[in-house]
Amino acid sequence: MFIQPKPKISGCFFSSVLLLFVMLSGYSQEGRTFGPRIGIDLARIPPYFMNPEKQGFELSVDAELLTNFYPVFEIGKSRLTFESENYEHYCNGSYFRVGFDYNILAYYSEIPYDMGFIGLRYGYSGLTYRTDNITIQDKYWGNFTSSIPEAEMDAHWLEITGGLRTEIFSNFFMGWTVRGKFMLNKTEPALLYPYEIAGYGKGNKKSILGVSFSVYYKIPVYKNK
Amino acid sequence: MLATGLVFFACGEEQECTESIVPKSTIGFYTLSENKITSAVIKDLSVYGLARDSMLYDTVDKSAITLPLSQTQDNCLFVMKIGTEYDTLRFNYTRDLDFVSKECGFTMRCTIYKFEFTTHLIDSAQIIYPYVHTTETENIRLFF
Repeated sequence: MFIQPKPKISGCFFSSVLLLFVMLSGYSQEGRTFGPRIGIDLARIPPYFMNPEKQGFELSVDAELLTNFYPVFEIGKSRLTFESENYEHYCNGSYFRVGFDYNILAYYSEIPYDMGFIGLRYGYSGLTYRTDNITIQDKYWGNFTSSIPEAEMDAHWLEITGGLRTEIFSNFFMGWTVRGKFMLNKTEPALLYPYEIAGYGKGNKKSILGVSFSVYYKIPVYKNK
Repeated sequence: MLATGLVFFACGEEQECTESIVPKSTIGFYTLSENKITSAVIKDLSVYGLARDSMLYDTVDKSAITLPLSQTQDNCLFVMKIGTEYDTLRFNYTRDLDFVSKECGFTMRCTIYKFEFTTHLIDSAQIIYPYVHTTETENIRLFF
């Protein structure tokens, strides 16, 4: 039986993006290096120690495909476990955001990679959540107890971003991003919103402000001569 | 730039629940004469829930009382003793679970759709505001 070899789509896609990247970056300033920049959000670490019920991580990748134009892809996971004497609430979700940042800072040869940017994202989150051991204390008539079974939710939102990014030493960057998030659509719950939508924030808010503070490493793929 | 970024790490403190989460229905006492409604103080008033051991009010003078509705049933009964006379109040309501806050958890939003009573001393009653929350908003007017 003849077995047709599977086309290596991922490898082909990566090569195409890299080629496009190398071609387009030729428009930029001389002597600069270009490559994908991989980041991790540090803003999630201090809250974990202050509030261990909330765990999560976020990774990002961006690259200057056109002069001052940085397509961005962000992916993350978030888990909330809240237990009190009145109820226990669990949210578990994954998310991604895709969009771009546009550098609005002028170019200075002394700080060739620093950027102040504005941008746009589309975000999607898929999560499950449930609430157990709900207790309403009532000393007179007796306590009410119940639980809300696990439910699923899909959420879509838009983000307007702004922030700063600077090179702290060769190919290592640090910066913060302020995010104005606007909910577009989400699965309406029968009874209760999840306390937190992964990647978005509080589940009952139509708009919310968020901040990420990340460190990045740029893989130096190409140097403009 | 780093310092600016670190400002955003400030986090909310853990807070304790200071709100009441038990729905309470408030009943005001009135007299009606010549189409004029007047607030009335009922003397020697005692109130307790049917089949409950403890009194909610014990031989007091009141112009309004606040009664906790049962969160496990769609109706509950209270006995009012005024002097040596007794009247019974029955609340019929729907219940909806509602989230208050992370610290407080849940409460029950009750909506009174029917209020029944005996008429040994009570003349009539009126549902003023059917939504029973944790705040003391007058729900029922009792006329004597």
